[in-house]
Amino acid sequence: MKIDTIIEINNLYKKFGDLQVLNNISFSIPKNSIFGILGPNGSGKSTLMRIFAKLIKNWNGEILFKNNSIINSDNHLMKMGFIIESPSFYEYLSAEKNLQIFARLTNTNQKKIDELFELVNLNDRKNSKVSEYSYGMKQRLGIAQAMLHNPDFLILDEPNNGLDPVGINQMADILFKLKQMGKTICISTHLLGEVDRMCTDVAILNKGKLIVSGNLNELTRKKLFYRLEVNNSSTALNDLKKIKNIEIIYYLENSILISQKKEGEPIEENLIFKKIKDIKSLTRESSLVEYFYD
Amino acid sequence: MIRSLIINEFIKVLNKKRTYIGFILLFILVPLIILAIGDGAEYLESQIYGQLRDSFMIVGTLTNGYLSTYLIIGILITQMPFLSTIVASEIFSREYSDGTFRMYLTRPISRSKVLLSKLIIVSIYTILLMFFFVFYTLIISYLFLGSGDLAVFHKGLLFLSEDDIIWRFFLAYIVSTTVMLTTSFLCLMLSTMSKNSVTPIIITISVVFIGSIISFIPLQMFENINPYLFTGYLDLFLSSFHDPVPWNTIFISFGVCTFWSLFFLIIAFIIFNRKEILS
Repeated sequence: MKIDTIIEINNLYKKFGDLQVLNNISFSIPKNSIFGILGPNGSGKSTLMRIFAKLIKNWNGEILFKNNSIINSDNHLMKMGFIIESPSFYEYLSAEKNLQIFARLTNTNQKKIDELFELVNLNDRKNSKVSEYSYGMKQRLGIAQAMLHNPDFLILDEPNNGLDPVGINQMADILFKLKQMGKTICISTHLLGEVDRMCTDVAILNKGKLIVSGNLNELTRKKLFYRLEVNNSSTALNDLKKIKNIEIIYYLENSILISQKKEGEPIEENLIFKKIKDIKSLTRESSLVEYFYD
Repeated sequence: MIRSLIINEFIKVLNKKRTYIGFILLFILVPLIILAIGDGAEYLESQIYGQLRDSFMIVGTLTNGYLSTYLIIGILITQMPFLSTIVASEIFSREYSDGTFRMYLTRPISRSKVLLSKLIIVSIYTILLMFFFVFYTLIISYLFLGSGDLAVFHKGLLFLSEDDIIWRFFLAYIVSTTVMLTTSFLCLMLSTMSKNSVTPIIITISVVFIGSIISFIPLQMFENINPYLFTGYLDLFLSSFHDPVPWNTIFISFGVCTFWSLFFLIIAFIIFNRKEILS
């Protein structure tokens, strides 16, 4: 595990009955990043977050939080704050009473509660019942709830879900503020735009499998990416290895994704056509994330 | 930590309207029944003690606060599971359905302690509700109908003198609360399994209903199994007014109720600790 990594997941598997929900997931989350877990509905994002939160207990693999396994310990929960799915509160209680309930579990004082109401801009409505809150207000109260015990790492499941554009902007402001405070934030989303707007790093899941993970700049902006359609990937792969400045990112039976090894040194498209005999097409990808997510 | 959990459960329960339904119903219903008993005392006595008037000369009235309390407990005790399980039925299931466990259980707290805190609240609620039921009835009956000897049927007609009655109501309270606690624990166990808070009440009441059938139908097979069922002791409070009090049967009922209570709580403990919170 690298020093600048807060979470490392190795070979994670989870099944519900016969359904393999997570299938050999491995990636790491850098410290002080806004890490996006991107995937369509049913890709396993929420399951992964529930495993972090110990709401799901039976799984296989290894998860290290600051180098310590979370399997037989709940200590990591003291350093993590969560919103899993939509924030659900005791609606018949006021927002303040709700936070006091959660605060009591971690010996958090009233001063901290007041600070958090300020942070999420709900100070003037803290005595209202949660049932009177709009969805956006509940989301912000959820952030306050997750921050109560001053965790290093926040896990937010679809934080912009159901928010209007104003609410989305407010949420983004809060997340950037938290990043500036030194927190690491992991958000799950099925919206590519959210990742692009807010995240520094990303992991893409689909049908329980990890497609790709890494720094968003490296994956989308700094390098050029090409998709090769070929008759047979294995033959083409051998030929590709002979070409300078080409990195093979990912391949399927008839498709290979490549990028530049070094930024600034272009990929010579003519050379690829010359060297790869059974090539059918070569397409420039505007965004790697977009490529995988599509 | 357990102190904080119990305080949290208190706040949750005290702020729910449902918590007060049982108390409000009894608060309204009991005086009405007492008024009805007082108003129809003559008819009631003729129905209960009618034949005795042929053999005895009864001076004054047998209808008093103690008889009224005895009758009301007898009438309402079979309905009490409906009220005593109100809190137990939703103590887990509502947190599943509302999704509040998604946040509550992400804190570094042991699920066993969460269960323990909820168990304590359910126990306190049941004990308080039964206390209110028995002693509110006794006080209001006393205020409306006064005191006197209590005439009950046990191997014929048994007259219990005025100074020999109050402790028997305390005993009746303890006996009936023991059975009611077991009923609440059954409902709590079912609540750990269900996202719907109505389902645990329905199943609990069904169990009590079936148990009552078993204890009332005089079939040999039913009579053999009835002593091992907690539902068979639902009306055991009546034995508090027997002379002598059948202590042996009362202690057996405590044993049976304790066994079932532990059984329900162990199952609840296993289920809740293994439960994957997916809602």
